[in-house]
Amino acid sequence: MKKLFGFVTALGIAASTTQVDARYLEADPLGLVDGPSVYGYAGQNPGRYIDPRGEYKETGLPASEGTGIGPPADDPCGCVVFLVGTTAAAPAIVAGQPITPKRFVTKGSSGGSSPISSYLNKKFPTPMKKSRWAPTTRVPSSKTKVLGKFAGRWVPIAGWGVLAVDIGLYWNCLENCKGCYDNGEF
Amino acid sequence: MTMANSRDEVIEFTSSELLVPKSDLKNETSLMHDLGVAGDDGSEFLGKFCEKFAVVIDDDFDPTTYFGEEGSGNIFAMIFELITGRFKRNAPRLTVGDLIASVDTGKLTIPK
Repeated sequence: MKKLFGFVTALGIAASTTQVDARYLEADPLGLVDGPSVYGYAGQNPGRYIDPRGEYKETGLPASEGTGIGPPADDPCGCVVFLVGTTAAAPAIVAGQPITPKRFVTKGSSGGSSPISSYLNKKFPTPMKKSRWAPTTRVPSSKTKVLGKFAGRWVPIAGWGVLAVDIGLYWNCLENCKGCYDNGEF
Repeated sequence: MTMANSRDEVIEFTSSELLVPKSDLKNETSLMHDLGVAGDDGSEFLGKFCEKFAVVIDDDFDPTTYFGEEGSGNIFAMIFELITGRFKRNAPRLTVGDLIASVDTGKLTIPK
């Protein structure tokens, strides 16, 4: 019965992270080998471990090997999830580069406008009640009264912020993962 | 248009376009350095100004020199500029006085 419960719980956890509160109905016959609770599942860390027999927690088999349970073999700690935000941050940063031709151009003009600023300026040309701080690369103290331009200048900066946080979390996860390796948890 | 009239009209136009109080607009007030006009805002402002007052701009006028590029994608260059202020220090000042003078002459003489 306990084996069945363990299997079902493992499947449930794999399907939804809301199942992390799942508990065994019977105490672990081996005692406190998996942590402070004899009713807990897989050391309270179902994202990293499975416990299909209700005895010892085990590192999940790589999802690529058919069970669908556990992290991929080449990323046992699942750190790559912290880089998901980068997929949104990178386009925002690229779109903030001055790569499109300026709208008001004379013969000697150089440089350009950022695509995101030009796009949002066309979409939201509404003037605000007063000029607000919206930095550009060359003039960080600059202001603008146009809503679209205001948003277009802040989007790449927000992208850099997301990228920095993502890299920090990813780095921290790798460090913790290295600690797990050193402790023989993998 | 007399000098006094053109000054009032330029001040009025600049104040309404850039949403700055008229009291902040002096002859020596620089569009970029003092009012924070940058990127496409500067280019568009000059475009409207030339259209309204029938002023001609030199062919070799480069708005990037006076207002910088539109966009904030290069965070490292922005931090460098915040620390050193190099662009702002070296960029020529395009002032309200230059605009007023251009209305009278019909040509915006760009300060080098």
